[in-house]
Amino acid sequence: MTFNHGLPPELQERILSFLDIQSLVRCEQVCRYWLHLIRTSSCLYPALWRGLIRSRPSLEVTLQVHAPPRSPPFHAYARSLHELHRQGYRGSHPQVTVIECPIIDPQGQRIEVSETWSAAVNFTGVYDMVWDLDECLMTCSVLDQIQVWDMRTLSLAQTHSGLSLDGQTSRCVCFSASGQSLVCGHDDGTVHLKNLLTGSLIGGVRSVSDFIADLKVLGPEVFCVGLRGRLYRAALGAQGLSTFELLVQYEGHREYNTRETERLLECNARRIVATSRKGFLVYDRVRRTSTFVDCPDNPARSYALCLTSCHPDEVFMGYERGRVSRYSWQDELWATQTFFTPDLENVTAVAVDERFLVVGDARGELHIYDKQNMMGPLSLLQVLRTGHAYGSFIWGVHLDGSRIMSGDSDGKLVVHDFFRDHDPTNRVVRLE
Amino acid sequence: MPTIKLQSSDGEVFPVDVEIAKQSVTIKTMLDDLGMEDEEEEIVPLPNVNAAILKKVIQWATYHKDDPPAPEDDENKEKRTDDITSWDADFLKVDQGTLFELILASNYLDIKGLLDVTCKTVANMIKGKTPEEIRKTFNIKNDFTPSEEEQVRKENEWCEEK
Repeated sequence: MTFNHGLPPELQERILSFLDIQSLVRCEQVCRYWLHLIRTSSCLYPALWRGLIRSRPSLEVTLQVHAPPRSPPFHAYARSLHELHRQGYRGSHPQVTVIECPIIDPQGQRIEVSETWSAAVNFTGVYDMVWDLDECLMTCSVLDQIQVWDMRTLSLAQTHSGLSLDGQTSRCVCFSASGQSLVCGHDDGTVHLKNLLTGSLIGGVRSVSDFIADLKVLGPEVFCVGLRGRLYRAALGAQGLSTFELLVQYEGHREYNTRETERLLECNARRIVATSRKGFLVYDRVRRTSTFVDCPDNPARSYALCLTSCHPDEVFMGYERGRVSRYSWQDELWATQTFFTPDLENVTAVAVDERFLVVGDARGELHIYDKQNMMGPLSLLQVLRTGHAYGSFIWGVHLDGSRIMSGDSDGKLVVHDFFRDHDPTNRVVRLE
Repeated sequence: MPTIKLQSSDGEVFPVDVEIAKQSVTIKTMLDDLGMEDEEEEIVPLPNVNAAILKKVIQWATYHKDDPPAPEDDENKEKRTDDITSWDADFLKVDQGTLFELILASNYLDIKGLLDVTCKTVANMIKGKTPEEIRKTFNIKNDFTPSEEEQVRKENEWCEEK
């Protein structure tokens, strides 16, 4: 038995995963098989990534990513960073990119702000964002804090602790139906109802033992998805939360792996959609039945999910390597339409309204598509490269009809006044 | 202490302490799931492991029977290869074929500690070597064309340059 003959690829990968970056890169030059093994291995990318960061300390701040990119363009990316490095690029966080993000206040006055407005307080990633149109508040879960931003003045209105009693961080936030309180899901399986402005705890419930990965409120109900693939429901009342119940267990414990599974949940009046490593679960709230939809390239990691009330029969999913799929409910089936973003980076955020589809990727770019033509293919209108550092993951995107708000893994929140100034469809779309 | 009998692919039977055998998650699961623990006469067949390798595995597991469980993999952490104990290093002074057989066996038996230390030993045989030296070590033929080789080398320049 030799290295090349007799060992299965996963064990060959395991051996190579103990190497430092220089050795790993030299291994690529050994023979065709080794080159193929390393370049197609999802487990060796983290090693390459760590090595890259180490070999270029001055780029470390720029590369504050929480997960390494797992796509073939790694080498191209590494090379371009190397070029930056050679050109004497010295980034420290606030100076990495200083980009104007103009916004418009309620009186129509233009306010010029730099994207660094949030960087001072958000020193690590924005996990989740919710946006309240009426109150003009944006609430974000950032590391161990929950921040409430007043979007009229772009000032931090409140900062609450995002920790549960056990000291576990809150990954996900959403507003209650009244907009006055906030529901947060924690890593220890607790769900808390808090007063939005004071941060005081109104009540909480606890799942058996599951990380709450995402949650949404719909009327008097809270729906949560746990990392272990369970869908829960809780009733929301003035006194707090009650009757926490398991609706569906759609994946077994063995499927649990935080590195492979990003659980996301969205709901509208008819359906609840929760992602899995292999596709997504659709729970029909009227019929009380659940179905599982396989993703096109099973298993492919899905990183982003969007389901809106404006088109209740439409689900958008963002996958690794630039894949975006639109699922639409037709004739009792989910019809799929798939397309790819131009640079095939992992799609980490998706937002949609009647007119636009906005896709955020693992490179800090936003891609804006026109979805007016529901039947035909979506056309790419514009790529926004502003605001987020190259290589930061866009984890949250929101549309409010006139602006795009995005939050990234560096903790930056950026407001893009896209529709007013840069909208290439200005000639086509009448803006109210 | 209760023992069980492990049978190698070539039919040799090894009586082993249950506690030692349970370092193999595969065997532990088998015992727990099937409740085989009570039936002392039961023989556990291991069709993927021959006697020579099984003997080595048992030797390793006996020496390491009081070790704490091996830590979980954390892919965000740099893995070390310089933490092989001298006993393990001595134990693994074997030919390459045996080393790869041990990797296969520890993977099949799911003994993380042994799998880690054997993989690290192979990794150490690669570290710090040029591609040509690696080929020699593992008897691998260079099947790149000169232009392909140049292309890969160029793509990896960013790493070699200090």
